[in-house]
Amino acid sequence: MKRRQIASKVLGGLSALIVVFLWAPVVLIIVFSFSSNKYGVAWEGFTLSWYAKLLQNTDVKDALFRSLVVAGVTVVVSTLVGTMTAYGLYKLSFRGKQFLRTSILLPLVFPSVVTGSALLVFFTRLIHIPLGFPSIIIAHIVFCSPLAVFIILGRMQRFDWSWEEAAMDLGATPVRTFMRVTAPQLLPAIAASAMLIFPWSFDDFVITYFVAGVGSTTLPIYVFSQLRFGSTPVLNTIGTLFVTVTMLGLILLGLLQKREKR
Amino acid sequence: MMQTIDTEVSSQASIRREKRRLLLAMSAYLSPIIVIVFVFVFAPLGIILFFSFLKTGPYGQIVYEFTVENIKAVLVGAYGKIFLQSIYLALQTNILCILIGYPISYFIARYGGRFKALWVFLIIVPSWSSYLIRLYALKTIVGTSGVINDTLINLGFIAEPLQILYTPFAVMMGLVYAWLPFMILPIYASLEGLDPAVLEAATDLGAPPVRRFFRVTLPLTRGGLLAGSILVFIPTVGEWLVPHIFGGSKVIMAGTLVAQKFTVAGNIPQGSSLAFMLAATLILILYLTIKFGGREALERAL
Amino acid sequence: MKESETKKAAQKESICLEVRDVVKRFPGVTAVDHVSLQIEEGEIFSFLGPSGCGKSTLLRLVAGLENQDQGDIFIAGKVVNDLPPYKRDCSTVFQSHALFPHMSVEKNIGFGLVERKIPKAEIRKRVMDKINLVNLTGLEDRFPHQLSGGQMQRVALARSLVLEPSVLLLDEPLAALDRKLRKEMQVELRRIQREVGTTFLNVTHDQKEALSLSDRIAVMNAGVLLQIGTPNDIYERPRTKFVAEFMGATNIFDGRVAGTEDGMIEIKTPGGIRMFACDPKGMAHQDISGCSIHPELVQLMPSKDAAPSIDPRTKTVMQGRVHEVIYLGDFSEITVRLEGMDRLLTVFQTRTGEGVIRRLAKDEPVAVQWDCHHTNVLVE
Repeated sequence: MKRRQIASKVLGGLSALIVVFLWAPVVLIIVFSFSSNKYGVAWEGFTLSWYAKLLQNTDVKDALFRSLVVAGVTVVVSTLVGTMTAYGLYKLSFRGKQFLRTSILLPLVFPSVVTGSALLVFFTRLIHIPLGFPSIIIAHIVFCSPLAVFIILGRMQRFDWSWEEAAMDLGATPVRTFMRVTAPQLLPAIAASAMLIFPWSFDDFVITYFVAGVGSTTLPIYVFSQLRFGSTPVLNTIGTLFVTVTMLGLILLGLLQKREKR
Repeated sequence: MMQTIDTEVSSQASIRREKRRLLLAMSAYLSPIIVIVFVFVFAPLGIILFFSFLKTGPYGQIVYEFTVENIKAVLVGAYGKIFLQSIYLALQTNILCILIGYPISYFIARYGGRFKALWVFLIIVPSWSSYLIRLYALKTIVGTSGVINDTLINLGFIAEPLQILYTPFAVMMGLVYAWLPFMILPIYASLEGLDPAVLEAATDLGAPPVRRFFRVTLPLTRGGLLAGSILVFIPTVGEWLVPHIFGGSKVIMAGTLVAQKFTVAGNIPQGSSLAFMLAATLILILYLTIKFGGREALERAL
Repeated sequence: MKESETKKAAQKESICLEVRDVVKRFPGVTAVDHVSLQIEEGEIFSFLGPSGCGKSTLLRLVAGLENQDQGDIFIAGKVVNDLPPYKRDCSTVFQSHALFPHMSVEKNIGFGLVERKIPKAEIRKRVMDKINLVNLTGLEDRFPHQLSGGQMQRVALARSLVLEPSVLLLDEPLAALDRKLRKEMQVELRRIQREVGTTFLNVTHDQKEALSLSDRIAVMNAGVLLQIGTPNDIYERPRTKFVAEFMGATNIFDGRVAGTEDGMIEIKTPGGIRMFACDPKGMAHQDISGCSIHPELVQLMPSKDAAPSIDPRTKTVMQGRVHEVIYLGDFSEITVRLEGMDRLLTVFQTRTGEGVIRRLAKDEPVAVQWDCHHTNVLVE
């Protein structure tokens, strides 16, 4: 028993240390976003002026708008594609299914420079897709859909599909069965993937940078261009917003999961 | 007699009907993803392969002539060396992530209790938000005038600030910082999926805790390790931002090269060949890893 | 001529379900091997057999959840081969009851009615009617995870019954319940069926359940239909070795017909023992492969208490030694090593024979005897 306690303390300490390590920069960003230090690197006194400046900054607002639109569309399309794909992959068996599954994994794990550059060349040289919203949204859908696929697929593995048989046996066509029985069961997974895809898309920099072209600045691109000049407090405020958005999304997700467990 | 012929014909027809039904269902559910995969993943890969074989003109424009220069440069030239260095660095990062990540996953799975969800939350949130800004913030912390150096100087451990940045060490630290959560989650998921009865049986059969870990727990979580490694190693090899921020021009990785060629140098054929070789290598590694059973663990992790 | 034709037509109308020469193959195994049968309206019919015998597959073929490779299925006279499950006039009660977890009891039961676009008020009426029928009054707003196993099974039953199908299919519905609950539910099922009058097609591996519940039973093994009959038929007169063993007639003797006499046939075992049995109608003598006797029909007594000579045409008598006595509470199972045969005979001795059992020791010589009328003839 004693050994167990020692082990748990040691491991716990390590975990806490890592969590601190992971959060330290984030905490600093949040803290300094309220600091009146001009460069946002030290604490000088509480102020909300940077947030005020943020609200006035049209560039930021434009970029924010673009990011929100992209993320919004991406979430909707990706979860839709993800649900359909997961359903098809789970239910059907055919030759080449393994191959398809591995291929779907590719855009998810590939280094961003590879997908970004490949898509850029593709958009400019092969199929002429205008750089800007179209190219960005397509690119985001490409690397976010797999996430939805695997989250929903994972949830499907734990299903008892006899519900579908029962529904059909009771008179529901396959479409009605999906609407009345399957989709409600999948809702938690769909919501989970939506809440994970939104920050993933909202926060993406590298791929977006490659395919955005001139003038289509999303928030991360804006941040990058500003960071060249060194960190400023306004960036801290943006960072704080990012983190808050993600936190809210994940908290919502956690609450949803808790509710469903009951 | 007639009846047997009828039934045979009807069974053939029903097989054909089944096949048609399957095809219809497949196209209904899977057409979007098939379009995405073939049009937006394979085709682009194909086209950068195509461009790898083209020449670059004196002003940086593309000359449509066949050449293997670019490929050669990647395989045997200086670029090749950078490639290998990137792989080596990614491997080191991977191992480091495992060494740090596994104990943490184990802790949360075994001793987390009511706070498991909280721990997971605390680990996911940083990694899912504002990649860029976090990295820059970390950079300032580790910089010569950053928090760490300040504290060390104030405490009198060192006289002059340590040059942490712009070293391979810094890059690896940045990489681990960015990708550690992606190792923790799959391992945690596979640990959670262990049947506690199996562990009890092991103890009952005479295995002390440490031995039990190496003989039972570790092998059973092999899937999680594999999944985590896929999620960490592959993106890391082609990382651009982290080497850029933490290594500057001193540490160049494959990703940096690709980005450079495409943006600054505007040399598409060269960039393409680099990108393609990178992609090809990683696809190969991915294929091999999945052959050894990593996929299910990956799905479970999500 | 005409009268028998109309009789046949009338009979045809009362056939609720017909399976004609149905075959279903899966990779490596033939699950259903040329099965044909007819089920009459209003009866409780059971498919009985061990796991993997194809009974569940057959049920799923009827329901439309699988499609057969060969053969036809008719429900209420209509061919249903090409109809998907939601268009067939039958309803299934699943073993896992498959209740929709996100719907209340009331919504679950009303599911099929909603698909039929029946007005809400009417749905509620019919649903409440069935809830009362299965004794779940008051629980209509509960959710599946709040119900016990038996309650969930009743909801599943009501859900299927409310659609008033021509035939109700039950896939081992009681398998997941404990013994006491199972017994209660068996009684419930019979009561409900009698009240509603729907044809029940029940699948089970439990012999007792089939016997107590059914009007007729079909015994299956390895995809083949072995015997159809009333519970009495199946139990008292199993026709094949498998059916006999499955129904508990574990004392089986191989043998061939050696002669007939006065409506009795003489069966001779390879070891030379002679046994008499009633000549069964409708069985060709050359097809007869042996006979069986239920353990509870065998009388056991110490050798010295046996009557000196008995006409072998009235009672079969054998000598042997006690091999083992297992006490099972309400009866004891005694195995006897028979003289002259390398086999054991199982005897069930009820409590009334207590005196006998207490006197028996291992290897004690005993005599077993049974009435020739009880000997059951087997074909292979």
